[in-house]
Amino acid sequence: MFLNRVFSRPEKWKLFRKNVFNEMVVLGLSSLPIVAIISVFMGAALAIQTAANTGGGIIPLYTVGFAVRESVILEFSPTIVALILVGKIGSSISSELGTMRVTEQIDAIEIMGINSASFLVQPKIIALVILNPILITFSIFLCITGGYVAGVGTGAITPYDYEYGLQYDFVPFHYTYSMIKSLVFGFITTSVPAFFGYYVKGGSVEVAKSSTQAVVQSSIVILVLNYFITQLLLM
Amino acid sequence: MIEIKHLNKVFGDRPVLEDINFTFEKGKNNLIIGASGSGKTTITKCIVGLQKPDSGQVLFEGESFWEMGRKEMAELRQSIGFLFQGGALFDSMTVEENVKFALRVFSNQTEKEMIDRVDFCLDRVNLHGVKGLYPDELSGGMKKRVGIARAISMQPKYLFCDEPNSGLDPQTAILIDQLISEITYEYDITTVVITHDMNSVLEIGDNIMFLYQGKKWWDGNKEDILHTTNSELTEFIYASNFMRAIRDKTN
Repeated sequence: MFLNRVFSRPEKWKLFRKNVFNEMVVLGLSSLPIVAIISVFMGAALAIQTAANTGGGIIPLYTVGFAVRESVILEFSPTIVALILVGKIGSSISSELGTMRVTEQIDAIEIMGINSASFLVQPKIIALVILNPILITFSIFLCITGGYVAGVGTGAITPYDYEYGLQYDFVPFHYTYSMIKSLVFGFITTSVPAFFGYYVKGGSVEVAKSSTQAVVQSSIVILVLNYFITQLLLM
Repeated sequence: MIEIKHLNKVFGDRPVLEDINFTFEKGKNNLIIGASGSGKTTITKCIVGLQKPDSGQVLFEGESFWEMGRKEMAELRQSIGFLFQGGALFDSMTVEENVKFALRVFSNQTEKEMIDRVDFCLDRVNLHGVKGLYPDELSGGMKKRVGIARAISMQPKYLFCDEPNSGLDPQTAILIDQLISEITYEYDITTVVITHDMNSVLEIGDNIMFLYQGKKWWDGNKEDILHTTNSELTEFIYASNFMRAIRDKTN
């Protein structure tokens, strides 16, 4: 019912496009620094861990590049970054809408004859669904770069082995799978917290509670869906 | 004109509104008065569609609000201005953007036309030099004025004010009352003011409904109210020392 209200026709397309663009800046671009930091260090740690566990000469060194690429594309970037974004974007959406609800700003919008759910929530969902695949691609690139810098920098692997591993047995569908996950997770990251914030009742304590609840529930939904999407697309 | 007929609303098993009938007249300041918890805000929310009554009708110029389709309801709401008790200004927007909000969504005006309208509305509520300020930079009285400016920006046919004087000093409260009254007469609109401020009642009460424990207990105007023999209403009117002093002096 909530999504039915959210996805009804916008009052004015020109204004809707402007709102989507604004949300892209607020939700997406402002998340770039945190995504970048997490991705670089995640890739670096992953490369060193893999290198540490493949030492001894039995497993070829290029496995490090291969393992970093596969784990980053399949799991780390789409899922871990989605969980980080739920913490950042999800809580912000939930508290923004919750505050608007308890201070009657949402009522003010409704009384003007505007569908507040569509006006406030739809641009956020559309913006993140569009931006999330870009953020995840950016994260994949930085993870792999981080892995290269750490692996080569510490002397655990040669540049040649790392690059060879990155290109070894590449399955393009894995990237498609990652993008499908990022689209779904982008939707969850915005819609679930928006639901909690939009229907909050009470005051500041309830807004805070709804924000926490939104992050917890969204994280659970993401992890459960991660399993089902994986089983559906990779098995 | 807005009519309410046999309006009932229950929260859980507690009746909040019981069989309310009243007519809010055009071109008049219609006041809903009553103690806290008497159902004033609930009745207003039922009229503007923020809460659905359990039974009864709300008629805008004879058209039943709750029987309207979604589109008709949205169109009607564009002709309603609402001043919230706390202002409900959009805190991430400047004063100018707040007043311009409905114009941006519904009108096809150019940017210049919208700015002219914003200037006109702010001028009408005697606010100058605040267009670029955010709500948290305004005083309580200024917020109410911006709320009124936003409410009249779309030239409404109906204006609702939920406790417009709450939290204001007596002088500013009177100015806000006068402003609401002037706007009502000037634009010939149906204004509904929810209040428990007796100064407002005596200042602008053209048509008054007194709610007591969810029931319409009395109706009349500001001349009638001081001569009422209704005991609950008398208790409400003369609750303050100030009003009792006036009564004693008059007697």
